[in-house]
Amino acid sequence: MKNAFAIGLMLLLLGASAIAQTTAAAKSDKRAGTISGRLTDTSGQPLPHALVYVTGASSLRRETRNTSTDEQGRFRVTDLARGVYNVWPGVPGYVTVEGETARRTYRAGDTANFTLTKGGVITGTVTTPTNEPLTGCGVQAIRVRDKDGHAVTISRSSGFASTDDRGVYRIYGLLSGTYVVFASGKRAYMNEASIYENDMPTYYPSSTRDTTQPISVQAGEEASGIDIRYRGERGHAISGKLAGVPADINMGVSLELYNVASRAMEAQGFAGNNFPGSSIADGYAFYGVADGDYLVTATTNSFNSSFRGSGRAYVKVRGADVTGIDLPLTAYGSIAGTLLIEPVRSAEGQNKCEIKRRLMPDEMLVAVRPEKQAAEFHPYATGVRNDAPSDKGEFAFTGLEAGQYRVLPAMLGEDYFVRSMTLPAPAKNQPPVDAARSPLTIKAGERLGELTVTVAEGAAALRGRVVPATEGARLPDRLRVHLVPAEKEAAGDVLRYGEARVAADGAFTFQNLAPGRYLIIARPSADDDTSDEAPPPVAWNAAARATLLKQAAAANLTLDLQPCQRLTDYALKYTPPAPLPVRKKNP
Amino acid sequence: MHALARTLLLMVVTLSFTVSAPSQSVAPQSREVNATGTIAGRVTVAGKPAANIPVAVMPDPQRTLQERYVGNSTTDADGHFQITHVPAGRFYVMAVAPVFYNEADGNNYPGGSAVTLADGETVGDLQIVLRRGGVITGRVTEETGRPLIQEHIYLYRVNPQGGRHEPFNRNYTIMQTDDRGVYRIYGLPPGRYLVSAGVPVNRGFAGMGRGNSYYPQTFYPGITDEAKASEVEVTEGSEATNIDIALGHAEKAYTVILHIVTADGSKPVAGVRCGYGSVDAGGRFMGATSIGPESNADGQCRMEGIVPGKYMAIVAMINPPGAWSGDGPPAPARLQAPDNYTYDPTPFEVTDSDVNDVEVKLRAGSSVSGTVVIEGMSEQEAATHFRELNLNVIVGAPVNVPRFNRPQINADGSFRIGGLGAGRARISASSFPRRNFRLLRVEREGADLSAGFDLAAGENLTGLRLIVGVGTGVIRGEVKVADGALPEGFHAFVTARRVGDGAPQNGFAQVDARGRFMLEDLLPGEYELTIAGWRSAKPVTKTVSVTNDNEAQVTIVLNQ
Repeated sequence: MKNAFAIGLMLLLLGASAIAQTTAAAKSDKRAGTISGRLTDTSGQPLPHALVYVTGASSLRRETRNTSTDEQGRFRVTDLARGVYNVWPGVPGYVTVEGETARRTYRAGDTANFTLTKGGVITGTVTTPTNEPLTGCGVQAIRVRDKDGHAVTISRSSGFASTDDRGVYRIYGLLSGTYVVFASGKRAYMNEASIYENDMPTYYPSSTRDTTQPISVQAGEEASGIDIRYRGERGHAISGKLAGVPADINMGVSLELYNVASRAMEAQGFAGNNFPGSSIADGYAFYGVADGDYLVTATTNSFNSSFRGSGRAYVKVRGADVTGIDLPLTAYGSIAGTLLIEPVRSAEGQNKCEIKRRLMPDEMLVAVRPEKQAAEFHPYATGVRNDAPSDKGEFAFTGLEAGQYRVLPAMLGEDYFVRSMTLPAPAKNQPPVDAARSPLTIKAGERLGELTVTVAEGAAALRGRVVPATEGARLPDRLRVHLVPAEKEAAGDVLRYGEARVAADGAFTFQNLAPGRYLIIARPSADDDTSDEAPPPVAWNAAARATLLKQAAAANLTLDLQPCQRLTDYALKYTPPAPLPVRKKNP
Repeated sequence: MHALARTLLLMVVTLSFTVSAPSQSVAPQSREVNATGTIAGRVTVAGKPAANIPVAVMPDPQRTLQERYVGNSTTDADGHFQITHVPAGRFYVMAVAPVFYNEADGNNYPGGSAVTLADGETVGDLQIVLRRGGVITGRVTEETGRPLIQEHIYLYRVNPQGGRHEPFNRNYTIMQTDDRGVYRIYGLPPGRYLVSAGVPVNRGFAGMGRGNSYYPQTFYPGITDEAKASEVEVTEGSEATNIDIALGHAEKAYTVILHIVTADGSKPVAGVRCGYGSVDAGGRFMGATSIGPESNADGQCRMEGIVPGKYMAIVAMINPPGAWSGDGPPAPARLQAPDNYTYDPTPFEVTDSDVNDVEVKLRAGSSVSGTVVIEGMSEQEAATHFRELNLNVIVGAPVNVPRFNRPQINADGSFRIGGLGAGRARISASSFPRRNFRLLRVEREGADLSAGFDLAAGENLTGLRLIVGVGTGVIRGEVKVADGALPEGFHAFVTARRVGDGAPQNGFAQVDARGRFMLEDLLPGEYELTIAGWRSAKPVTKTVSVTNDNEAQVTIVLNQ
């Protein structure tokens, strides 16, 4: 996922690697949009009669328009309102060739083609300690590394299968990567009694999580003979109450158990008032838990509940049951605001600026990204969520846990850049508060409702190549190009900073840049680059920003970008900058 | 799991979109460590002792919603098992060995052997007789030979008497194809089966959101006409291979748009969930329903992937009125208290095109309200039990509209149930986790409305008094045969009817292999017990007197 990165161009956060394939001009008819495309496999063969999910990306218009492909693998959804849609092929057993980074959001009018490939397969047997086949045993494969060997930040259960009468299981449709495989005996449905309920999971080949042998599998390939000897050792229970919720309200709570070491979700459960005789007051319990560090999370279901919120607790299991782990539920907060589009300022545009495709606010996206909590593992601390604004630009994110968030406009097309993000001035005669410089802090239940995101026409782009200062020299790994505002008064404007990863051949790309004067510098990234998650931009950290500014000023390479300018073939000579203090990555 | 709980849970799963693979029961249960009963016995497979077979004791699902086993054990080399620390009560004992079938299970739910255990009692000779089930395996492809992945297999057991073939279900994970199109269904009792893939349109299917094409149901070896399908013979331990099915042309499924409007048709209603259920020729629900999207700001619900057939539109008023929640349309189009609304069932039919003219009018429903009183209990004590009670109002209508909200009883006993239709209404109540509460009478201003009452459109009937009784009586019984021991494979059940009670039945229990049975949670009164289900005997009845907090003993002698 580490391709072009420029603040304001947050497409990478949305898993998109390309600029919108927009062809049609914005239509005035609000109901005339079509999204069409084709599903093919890697040999170019069509995938017929396959489900394609098409859902409105706006929280105000979650219109579902799922469809199927025809004999030629084509699909076409017509009569769509203008706006952004999530489009995703639902072909069992298949994955997109780009894996999780495949683009998922499209505008009405776009073409959405997907190339799919058979997912990877892990297969083997599960036998009892007496070497008999174990039937009806659940086996899970959890992805721990992606195809590039980066640690997967959050590993939800990646694949599940039950053993048959011969003890054979077959998990399919897996993304390329490295998996840990375990048999747990627990059944695939909710609340079904299992005689294995108290058993700890047995990891491949017959071990605990710490000593398991990970399995690497590529899409289209099969890892066979992954045979597990089931141990059936008794695990421990984690139990407690749900606190902070009125007991008489009709609601349910979903519970998840995460292994902190592997970040894998090991079990899920449910507690609720939704059926007679069951009550939130009864609390929750997980059984068959091995020694280790765990996180238990509780989130309310949206089903019929007037209270929505979540809670979590960190639990150490050391050789005994753990009771009294109460989960205090706190109400969700929200962030809402308006996305405004500003025309080219006459001074900048000078009538030379040609806008390739004008976009309306509902044709863009706003994303919200939790600021990572350094100290503790939390599965929701990495998820990026999107909302497509309404035609008036209104957007909203509900269901936010208390914490810090960055708001990131996206799907800006070629012609737009983020001018500003502001909150209302705290008092009269004061300027609005710059909401881009630091993350927004949301307290439990807080509703932040007046964020203004201003996107402007006339974005510039820069494409170029880093070349070694001395011919034949090698460029360092993990090189990044940074753009830094050259105007002194803009030094604190985080939106004016840009950051792009340099490809192996030295190429780099910036898009959605504000016109203006920049300092440009290439330098190695301080990040260890072992996680699948893109590191936060350097400019988000005030100290790192100041260092970058100093180094860029010392290098003293400037360039001017005019509104709508597309600067290409820019050659940037690389000379190692003065040493930087090493920025530690979050553990 | 109790059927109601399962339905509700499925609904929760459907509505909250939290279907996921690994999960476990989370209701913590205090293990009854002081329990001193023991259940022991022997497992045989094809007449020989079977080692390493897990055996589990499950609470009677008639009694409780508990989803954990009471205890379990594994057989030794001689096939013996022993499960200790079992409390007194009614249980099912079963081998957890899905490759086998137990002839004695027949079609009984939940399967296994019924055991009625007294406090500290030991049952030492339970025989579990297993046989290896058959396997049916094959591959499902589409016309071009491409495997169909995650395709559900519908299996039907051929009815030897003729008539309709009954669907035969197993855990869904074994009823679907893998990435090679291969399926493998095991543990099948001997018999003849029809194997099919594709959508069983003629059997009340109500799927949704699967795109706009589907494969019609095709039976092995590739026939859409059920009457011409080939039967697959399964015998003990047999394996029927290459039961391959090639699905024919994909057919088109259609989109149905429901328009949800206010009673006068003037305003759209946003934020209610829409769904549909399949109906038979007589307009009755066939059981399968599907709840889908929320109505949008224009009051429209778009339901996709509906296969041709006859249906009834369903509206589930399950979302709280939105203050600004951001995940639904802004307030004006939403109803302020959706559960107070009702609608007339609206039929529609899908033939060969999308349907866009189904209008569902929501109108203010009738309501009933009043107070619940638990006989012989203080108000304080009653308040702690109201959540165990589930009230239901059935208003006579040509088609019953499923309700999704559970009416709440407040701590002072007051209740209000809105959103009702008009017609002959009847209130009923059930209790969970135990069935010890019974609705005795429904009164209003001294009049007895227990048998039902008329509810006019829009009427708000207040001042109802629901009198609930508490039953803690127990009947513990033994069935004997006049001359000697119970025959091998004795199988019977007992039903109890309270004399003078309007209900068709007030208790039900399996009689275990030793002839023991237990009926619990009985209201005081005279009970008429009927033993039935034993093939060689006519039903035998006996009258027993029950008081609260007491156990009545009864012996029933069957004549050979």
